[in-house]
Amino acid sequence: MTITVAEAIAISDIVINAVLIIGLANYIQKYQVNSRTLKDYFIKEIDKIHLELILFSEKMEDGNVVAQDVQNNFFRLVRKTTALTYLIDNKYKGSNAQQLVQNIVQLQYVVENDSTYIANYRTNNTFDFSPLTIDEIRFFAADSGKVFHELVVKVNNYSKNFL
Amino acid sequence: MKTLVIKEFLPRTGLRHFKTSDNSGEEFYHKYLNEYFASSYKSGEKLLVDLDGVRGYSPSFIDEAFGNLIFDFSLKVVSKLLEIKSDNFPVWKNNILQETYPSWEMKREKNELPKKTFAHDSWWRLNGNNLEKKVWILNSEK
Repeated sequence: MTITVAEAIAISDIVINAVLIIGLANYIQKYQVNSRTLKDYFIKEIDKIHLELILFSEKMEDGNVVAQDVQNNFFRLVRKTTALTYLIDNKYKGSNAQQLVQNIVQLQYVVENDSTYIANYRTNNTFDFSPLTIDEIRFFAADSGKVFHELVVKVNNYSKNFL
Repeated sequence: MKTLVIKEFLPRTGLRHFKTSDNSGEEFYHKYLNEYFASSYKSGEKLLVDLDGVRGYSPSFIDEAFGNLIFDFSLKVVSKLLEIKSDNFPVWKNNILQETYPSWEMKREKNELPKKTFAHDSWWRLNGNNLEKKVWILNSEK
């Protein structure tokens, strides 16, 4: 059976198109899977930090804390959050993830201005925060959810044109 | 450019005042930053302060250390001669520039004296255009 030139062109056209479509579909799917996997990872990490912050806030509210331990916890949280939000800001432009760090620093400012905290810092005795500071910690914990949730939404909804 | 790397002087950073904590912002300013900056002023060479390498900072440490610099030298002079570097703590660099600088410049303009909780040795201050060294403010804790 002989194939005409026209038929050969038509067949090769179909084959080339099929290869292109399959290749492109694979690429898009792989990109989407990688993109989704990465988003899920960052969202999980954001949630972990949020939970850590909530537990830390509850511990401070409950009292019987040691001033330098509180400070160390803030140091750790700021370092961790800075590292994570730096990556998020680089990957998902416009997410303003670094705002989370500023948020934590604001709580640190409130806590470390507490007069009982200051009075017990050097001796490192256990103490309770003043009722006013406890109130502010509670308010912060309730309010901070918004910043974390907003970031999760931004990461989740981020879309980059790659065509 | 001269460099002051904080971690080389303080193994750990404390709170605001000398009276309440070791390695306070007040102590860091009087022991190191004031002298280093005055030296930069005399030579006209910029001073780079590197915030990295320590475990972290308290907002009061940062505010007291860099705020006193503004009070003694003015925002105009400090902005010209001081650079702050931090890859690990961009939040502190931002807070210094956006909060500490303007609030302490306002204190300087109103002459709201910062509290000293230790009898410090004489330190440098720009008095008009003259760089002078003396005990400008006495220890308020007696």
